[in-house]
Amino acid sequence: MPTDLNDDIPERGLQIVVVRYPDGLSKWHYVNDYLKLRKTVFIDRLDWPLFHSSEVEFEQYDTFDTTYIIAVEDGVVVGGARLRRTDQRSGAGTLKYSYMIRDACLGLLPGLPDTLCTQTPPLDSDVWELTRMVVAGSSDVTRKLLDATNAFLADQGARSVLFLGSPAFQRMARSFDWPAKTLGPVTGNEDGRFQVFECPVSESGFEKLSAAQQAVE
Amino acid sequence: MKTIASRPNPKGMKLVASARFTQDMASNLLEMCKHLEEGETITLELFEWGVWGKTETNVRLFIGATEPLQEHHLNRVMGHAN
Repeated sequence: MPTDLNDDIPERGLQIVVVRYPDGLSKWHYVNDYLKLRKTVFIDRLDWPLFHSSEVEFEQYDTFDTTYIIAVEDGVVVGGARLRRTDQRSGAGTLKYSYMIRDACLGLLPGLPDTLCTQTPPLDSDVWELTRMVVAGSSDVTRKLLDATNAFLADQGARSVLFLGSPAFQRMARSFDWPAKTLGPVTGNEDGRFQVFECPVSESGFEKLSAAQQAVE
Repeated sequence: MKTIASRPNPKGMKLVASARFTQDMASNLLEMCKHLEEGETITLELFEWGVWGKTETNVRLFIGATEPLQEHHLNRVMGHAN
């Protein structure tokens, strides 16, 4: 199971590993490689204005209570994503950060529009947020990442997960039989166009999830 | 006669960095300390915005901030690698 934090990761083939603090400290090198991949893609390639050091991209949402879903192929990190439960606080201090989509809507994040959602995003222990998804590989990597995300969230008892992604995300999610609904308009800034989506979590996976959705529509 | 206590910065001691901490920021730092290996240390990283803790095994976690994030804080190359 990808949600078993104590599994040994084979060196060959594509595997998905779930890492969170402090249980996953022995696997934290995967998180560092994932942060390096984020820097390569978001800073070096896309030139997004984000925190970074010379090697890694990181920000206030990379902290306690963050879960990383990381794709490892033949020992090399080829993709990953960051998960946070929406009722958790991110960091501490005099400011109350929660999660990226909500904080953007509250006007706390310069560079992101506060019009991402038509309603204020929830603080709900059953709703999670996925951000900073990055893949340097085939669509199979993407699918396995999302599959593992769904399995992990189902294991956590989650009801749904929020995404901030390009408008093309909805089409991709549907191609994986994962019904995604929009929570706001297509918006954007000089870095691109994006939209907020919500996807249900299912213990039975994508295909059965899609069939169940169609049965009630 | 001046005493050391009467001087905010004793001669030869130069303040090089400071950070405001709230109680819950200190709690976050202590939480990181709980999981250190014997003899391992944490480096506090004070950026233009926010405080991070970083262990010797490159576990970097956001501790907190006491000022709002501003646009000019973004897109800067931080001082430390890894």
